[in-house]
Amino acid sequence: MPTQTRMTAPTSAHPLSGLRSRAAALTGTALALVLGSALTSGTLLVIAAAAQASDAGENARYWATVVMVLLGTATTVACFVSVFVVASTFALNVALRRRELALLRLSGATPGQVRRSVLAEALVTGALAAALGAALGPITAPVLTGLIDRSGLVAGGFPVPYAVWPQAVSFGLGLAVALTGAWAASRRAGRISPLEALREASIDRKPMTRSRWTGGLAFLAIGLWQVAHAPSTSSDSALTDTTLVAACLITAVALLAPVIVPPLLRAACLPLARGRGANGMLARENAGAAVQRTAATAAPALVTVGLAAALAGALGTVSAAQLGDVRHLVRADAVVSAPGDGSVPEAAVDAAAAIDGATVSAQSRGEVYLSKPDGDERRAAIGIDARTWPRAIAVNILQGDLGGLSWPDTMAVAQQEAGDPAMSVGKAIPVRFPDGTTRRLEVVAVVRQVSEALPIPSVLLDRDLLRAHDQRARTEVAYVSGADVPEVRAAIAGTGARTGNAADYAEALHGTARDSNNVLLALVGGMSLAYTFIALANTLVMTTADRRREFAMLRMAGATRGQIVRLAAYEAAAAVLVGALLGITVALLTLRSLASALSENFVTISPVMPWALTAAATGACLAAAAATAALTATYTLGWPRQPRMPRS
Amino acid sequence: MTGFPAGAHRGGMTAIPDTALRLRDLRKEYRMGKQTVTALDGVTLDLPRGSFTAVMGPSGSGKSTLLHCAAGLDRPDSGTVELAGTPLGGLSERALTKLRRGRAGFVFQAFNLLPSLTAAQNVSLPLRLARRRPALAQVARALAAVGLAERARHRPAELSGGQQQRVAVARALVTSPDVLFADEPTGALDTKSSHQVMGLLRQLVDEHGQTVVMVTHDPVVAAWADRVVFLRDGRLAGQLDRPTPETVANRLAHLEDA
Ligand SMILES: Nc1ncnc2c1ncn2[C@@H]1O[C@H](COP(=O)(O)OP(=O)(O)O)[C@@H](O)[C@H]1O
Ligand SMILES: [Mg+2]
Repeated sequence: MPTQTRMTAPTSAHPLSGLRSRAAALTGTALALVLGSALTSGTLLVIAAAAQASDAGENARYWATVVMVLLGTATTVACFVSVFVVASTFALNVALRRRELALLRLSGATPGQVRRSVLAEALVTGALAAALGAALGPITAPVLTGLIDRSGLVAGGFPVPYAVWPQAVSFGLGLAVALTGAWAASRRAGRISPLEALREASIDRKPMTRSRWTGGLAFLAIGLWQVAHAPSTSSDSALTDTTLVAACLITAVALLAPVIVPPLLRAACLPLARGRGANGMLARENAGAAVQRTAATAAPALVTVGLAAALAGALGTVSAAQLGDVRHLVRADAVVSAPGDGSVPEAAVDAAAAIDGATVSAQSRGEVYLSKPDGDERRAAIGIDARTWPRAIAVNILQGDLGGLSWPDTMAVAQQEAGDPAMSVGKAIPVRFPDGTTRRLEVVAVVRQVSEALPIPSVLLDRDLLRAHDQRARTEVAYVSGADVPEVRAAIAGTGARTGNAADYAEALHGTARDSNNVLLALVGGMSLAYTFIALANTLVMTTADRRREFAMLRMAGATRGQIVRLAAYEAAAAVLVGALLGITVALLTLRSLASALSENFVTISPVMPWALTAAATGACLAAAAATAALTATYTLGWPRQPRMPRS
Repeated sequence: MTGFPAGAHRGGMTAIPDTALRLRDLRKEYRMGKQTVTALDGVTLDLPRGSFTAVMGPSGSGKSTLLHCAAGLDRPDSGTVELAGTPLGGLSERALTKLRRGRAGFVFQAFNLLPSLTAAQNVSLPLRLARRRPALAQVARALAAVGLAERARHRPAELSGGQQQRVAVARALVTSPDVLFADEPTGALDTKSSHQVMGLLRQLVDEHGQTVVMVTHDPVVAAWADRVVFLRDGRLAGQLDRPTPETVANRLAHLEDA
């Protein structure tokens, strides 16, 4: 026997040998998966701990809810973005390997074998990365609880005990993400014709497949339908709804990127192409020719800028509407409130009322039980002074007259209760108070729910009536008209209550929710930025190394090293800019739809685009892309001999 | 010297027809936008088993297209291809691939070896893809037959052009195909390497009854064949038995003048 060559098992030889030689190209996929699995595993550990602790008491239950909403959204976004990163990495991987895969087909591989070899790569990479990520869960969990602790949202956390299932679930999820991401690429790989191995150039001939068109247009239709027919929503679900619409549109644009990006890129390069230099012309022509590369470079910026702007914009829009509405609806000159869930002392109410020319409208909150056919139902109630209240805040009466509240045995109800015919104006129903007394109260008015920012509870009573029968009723606010803030502050000094204008009151009401959302934003934003850098670096390393011959030809045509490095950086930055602009478009559409969906619940709503954050995210993507492209180009040019032979 | 068991001698196959390749009225057009190029315009051709045929013609006359259609790499618009008795029309991509594995071997101008695999791994690839455990002896024999036994562990980048093409020949023959298809196999080689590769093909035909069909534009290379068929504008334009470089060059000159 003249030669003995060591060989691996017959069927696994080709995918695995391919895996070894392309280890670098798969690093990005692996990193994205490790990050995603580590986050998921940590999140699930925290959620498991929170679920256990929520049996323990009120505070722990609140903590648990916050944790689940925050981390749940973050994990969903992480899964979406990592499928995205894996999908674009694998698509590019297949595009770059077309010739090699065609050669396999030529050597006798069936389409199914080629498909499976791509999936096998995803499986091996996915399994390794997901296992590592899942194992990191116990390390990420305390980081997550620390982040939430530091935000001051909830006092005191709880320990995160170790559990197996969160790690098992996140491993499975990581694997699923890897296979989902690689699925489309594997289908594309299976369609490669053996004849492609015989063609000279490997320019993308048909970057748009039928499934890409179908998927892209379907997602676009769904996304635009959602934008146009924005279903009414509340500020609680604003984030989830925005994520959904933005994710639809982003997926659509990413799928259609080979059609959308090149023309935009050509337009973006136009000013430079007109100049005398070669870079503008080259970048412009390359953008058209290398559709896959351009689309893959633009996609991460699209996802990051689009998601970050849409989510931050949604939070900003809701927050601005809440603050705006409170300022708009509160007519009083000063607002006296108690810190936290406390009660404004009666001394403070009296002191304010004693100011010369001032009118005070105090508002107490308690509860009552409405007698309904199925038994008593608990309802939140406020006690007000019907004569002064309409001067303190803007009230919109749908039916009846609020003035009737000053007669004995009357009540008003809010819009949400008016659906029950027994609750219409003129009807009387039995109402039981916390002290046990039951009175028949006649409905004198139905009050409209003007804004979610200043919600009106189901039942409105005379303040004295409520306070007489609900010992726990607390004075949540006292509106002062006819005296300014410093005057009121001086008058109530020492009572423990605080004074401010409408804006301060708005901040006191909604500041906490905004802070909790900002933690989420930091988490999601930081994470998707990390993904973008991975995806960008990965794409650019893969594609720039592939351009060895092109660079060599440019060198022969008289280009200096510096010119080529600048060209690579310029091209990458231009593609990223187009991606970011598309992301901004997606965010603007999403926010417009969100604003119209929320318009029933807020008075002052209008979309708020977070321009500073958007600019910062775009700038970060641009810098990362240009730097990576320049580095890889320098590396590619500087290496005298590639270890592997370039395509023949 | 150990050689290849050619398709005709393979055990287990019964009733192998005398005609290795039967082409009937092949037509193929390429559409590029509004323009239509007729690459094949009714080609009918039979290749007997154990024959060595060269296909010649001006550039763009449809030689490669003919080869691709005959080998089942491409599908003609109309007409029939029978490879070792099996009609290729109507086969799925998967069935076609499986059929090609056993019946057809390919050698091209660009050697088309996988750069990340060694010579031995490249040769064993078709067997692995067919899920046949590559007997080390089989691979080693194939490499020895092309005179590259000691280069088994080298990667393509470490081999000369002639050596790479001989690895490609070994790879094409390791599955004992009924027909070996070669498209300008010497197009990228110098005279000496070219001579070696042609000698190898001639030997396969003479000693093992291998059927070979080869596209070339070089009269010297074509003269190694038993028969030369000429193609012009996608149509057969005559043939020449027992060619010599001179007679081929003469015919070719007339073909291009006409
Ligand atoms: N994939 C293709 N797309 C479009 N036209 C093609 C394609 N392949 C070949 N042709 C055209 O078909 C004709 C025959 O090509 P080919 O068989 O490659 O010729 P030869 O090998 O004889 O040079 C030529 O005009 C060529 O331009
Ligand atoms: Mg040709």
